[in-house]
Amino acid sequence: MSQAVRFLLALGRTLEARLEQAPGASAEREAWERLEALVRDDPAPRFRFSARGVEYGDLPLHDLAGWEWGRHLAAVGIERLMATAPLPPASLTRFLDSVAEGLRSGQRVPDMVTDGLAWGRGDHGAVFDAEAPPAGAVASDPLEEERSVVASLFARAARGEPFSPADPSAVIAALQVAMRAEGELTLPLVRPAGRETYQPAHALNSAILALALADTLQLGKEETRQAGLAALLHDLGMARVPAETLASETLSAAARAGVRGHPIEGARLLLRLGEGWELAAVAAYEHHLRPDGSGGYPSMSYPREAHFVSRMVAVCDAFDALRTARPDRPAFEPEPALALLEQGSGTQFDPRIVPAFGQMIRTALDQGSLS
Amino acid sequence: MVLHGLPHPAAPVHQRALAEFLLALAALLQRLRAHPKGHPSLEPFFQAAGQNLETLLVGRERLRVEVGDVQLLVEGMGTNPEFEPLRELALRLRRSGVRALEFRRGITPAELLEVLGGLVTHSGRSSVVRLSGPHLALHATPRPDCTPDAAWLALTQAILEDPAAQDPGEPIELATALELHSSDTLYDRAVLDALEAAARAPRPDGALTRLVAALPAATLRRLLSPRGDWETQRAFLAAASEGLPASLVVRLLVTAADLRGRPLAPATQRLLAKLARLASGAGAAPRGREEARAAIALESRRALSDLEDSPGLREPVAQAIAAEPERLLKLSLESGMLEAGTLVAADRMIARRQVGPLLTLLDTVPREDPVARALRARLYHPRTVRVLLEASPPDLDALDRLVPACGIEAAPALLEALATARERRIRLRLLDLAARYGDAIGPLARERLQGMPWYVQRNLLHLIGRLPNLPPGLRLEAFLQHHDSRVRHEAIALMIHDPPTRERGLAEGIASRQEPTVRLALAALADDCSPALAAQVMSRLAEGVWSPETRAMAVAALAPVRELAVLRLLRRLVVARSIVGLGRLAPKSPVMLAALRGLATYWSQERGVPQILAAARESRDPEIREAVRSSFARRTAGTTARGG
Repeated sequence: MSQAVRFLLALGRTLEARLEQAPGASAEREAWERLEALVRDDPAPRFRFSARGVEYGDLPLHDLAGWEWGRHLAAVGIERLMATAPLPPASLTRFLDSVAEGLRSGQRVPDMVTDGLAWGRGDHGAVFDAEAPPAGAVASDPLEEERSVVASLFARAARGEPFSPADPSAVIAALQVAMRAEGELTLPLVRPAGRETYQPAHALNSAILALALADTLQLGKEETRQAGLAALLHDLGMARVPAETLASETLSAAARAGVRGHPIEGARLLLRLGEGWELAAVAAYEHHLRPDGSGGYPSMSYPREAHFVSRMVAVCDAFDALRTARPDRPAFEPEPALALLEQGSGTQFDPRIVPAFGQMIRTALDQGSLS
Repeated sequence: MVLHGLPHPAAPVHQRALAEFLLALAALLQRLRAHPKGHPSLEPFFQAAGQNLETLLVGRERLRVEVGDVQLLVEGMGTNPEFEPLRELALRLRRSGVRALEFRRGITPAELLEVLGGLVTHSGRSSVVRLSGPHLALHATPRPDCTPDAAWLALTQAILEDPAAQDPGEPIELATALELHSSDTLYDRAVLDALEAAARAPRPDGALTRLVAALPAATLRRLLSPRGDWETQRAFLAAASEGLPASLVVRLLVTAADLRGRPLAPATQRLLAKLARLASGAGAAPRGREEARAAIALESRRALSDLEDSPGLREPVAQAIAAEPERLLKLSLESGMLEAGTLVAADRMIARRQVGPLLTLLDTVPREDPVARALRARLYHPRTVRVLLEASPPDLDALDRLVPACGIEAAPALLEALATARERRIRLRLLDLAARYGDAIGPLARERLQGMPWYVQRNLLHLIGRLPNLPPGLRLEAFLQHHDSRVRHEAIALMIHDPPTRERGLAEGIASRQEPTVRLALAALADDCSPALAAQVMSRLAEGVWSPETRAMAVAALAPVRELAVLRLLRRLVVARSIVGLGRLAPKSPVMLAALRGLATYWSQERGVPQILAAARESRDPEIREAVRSSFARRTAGTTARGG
């Protein structure tokens, strides 16, 4: 049973207790715990209630077909419910109070936005302002779902939890669809909305660039997918770096060592998943190495060249990093960023990959398909 | 660290046991066609098949035999399509509508008989799936000529449990019947099988979509329950990913993943739903729809693969770009990482028979390094020995390094390989390896002797001969009557070297009709020949059937025996009498030289012998002179005649 179903069932029990004026503290606590667990998995869960049933995101919850509380909620005007972290328990209490009142009186429950929780009718736009992207983000984000999956992957990685192989795999599949949606290959790069969303956005961009680069290099289907996965997950180890370290403008030696440990940490997280993640682990480990293994980090006891996919990821990673503003410098435009990559070609970057990458970016710029 | 959670790969199928099992299966099915299930003549056949199966299921949960057109396939390896009994078995199974048989651990001969008996008498009107037992699943062949209407009718018959039904059911009616049916593994399996066929040949009116869409969550959960047959479920899901709308595919996938405790993250479900919307045409160009549709199908297959219990079934990464396992191990060793993927990489190297490089890599790391220690534990395993032994030719150098580290647990695999090694060079190396275990391997070798083919027994006896002591309880006399002289030879060799059986072994050796065995005994006699054995040797010598070399050995063996008959024999062989009775040296031959050496060494003081030796010393033939001289030297060095 999914977290979403567990939460709704607990919600139903809590409402039932309220209506019967029975002691409902434990039911409410359970509902709160279920909701908290759900938000850990899904940073922005959304429900729709109607006489036909319950939808979670865009999926009908078949397990709750015929669930009476869905009808009751819709009847008092709760057609939509959404949550976002952080979510104080008081918000749930307020929601329960409003709904119980509405159910008792038969009056429509007013639309409401509280800390972390919003509810109301589906046709009432204002109530769901919380769904709007934060300031600075692209107004309409066609890769919202992909970004959400990646955010959830990084959140899991930060907690040291494994994730399902289907998660990154679905992102790559969706990116491939998005990149070919108009027929010609496009590069729908996303912009981070702020420091907190940098990693998911960087992961998505690296994956988009790697998928396109693999296409330019005429790799096969499976190789392309593997390169995309490796790029998507190459910085997974950064999820383990404390947020305060990332927020700091000057790093102590220890903090710097922590950041420089992210390739090993990323590889460790991926190897923990077992079979099928080897290449992603290698790229996570090697993407800061020089192509011939003569420099970069981590240090090697067994001198070797970096894997071809690691070299691809290194180029994509560097390009997207240059395109992002930092406290000490503005974002680079594509051409100057490419020029920097070309300067490093043969030393820091693979000289066979950089020209192909440059050609790919310039073609996209010419065609206006680099967003 | 996920060290214990990672299973060792299933033991590789033992090829000989597999071949014997398939032959037993063929024989059993043939017999079943001629006799009813309870007929006593069937007993040995199903017992044999059951025993072979038991051997095959050691170290694995299941064995799946796929049925091709003219061959059977096990783990991707096909039987020889030219080999008539198995070709016939494949053809018959195919004709009965069987796509695969899956044997599971715990199967009994009775269940085997029950299911196969049912298969032989199966009318073909219902799916063979329904004949399955708890430990033997039959998978049905999709009929190549199955039209959408025929598939739908078969689905109707399966859902309504009415093989005679002739009217195709309405989707909603069928969904309701399916919902109302109580949980029954065989019923569900048959329905899923029919659903799969219907998804492969879908009716253009979308009947299947309506049916699946109308199924309540509980019914779907029942059909896809982990208690059900995964192979059938997987086949249905795979077919559904091609034949059903994307939104339903996602629903099925989410249900299956959830039931297996590997739920898809909510965000991923939303992402798949978005793809499903795109696939259905919402806001996408035709190309985008196509891409989304293909992506859903592909991701479904991948997700199915991730739900597999056996990691070996997952889609392999394209070889051209795969992360080399050695690279992974290097980075794991240099950064002190020991995770499930590290062990997977070690397993990959082992499976690819790159044991030598792996050992070399581990030699570069201090013994106490925890990653290296875990990798060694993974490597020093009978499974690794088996993998190396199954290479053709076996990697003997790596085995040399590995076997001592693996300990006695690897001995069974080694014995198995030794038993069947045909190439002498390999057999000798394997013998060397096995003999390193010393007496510890003796009882294992002894246990394997009974009922084995002659060459297995020969090799095992030879191995036992190289051990310091015979294993307790070994009865060598049983092999003296063996039909194959090579086995008798090894048994005699062992008896000769074991004091309690030495005399009997020597006697059997001398009596043998095989000269190598005779020579074996004669060589042993040279140290210690009793008068009784000497008499036997002289008797056999008189038969005149031995080659000159063997006769020379016999003479050398007899020479020390202080019997007058021996002296006479030696003189007769050295001296040729003319018709007037005058003696002269006989023509040189191996026998003559052996007898001359015998006289010089053991009988030089006896009457008439000094003259013979003097004549030999005067001979113009250097070999004859040398025979006397070397014997004299040996005598003066202290060798004395023994015996009576």
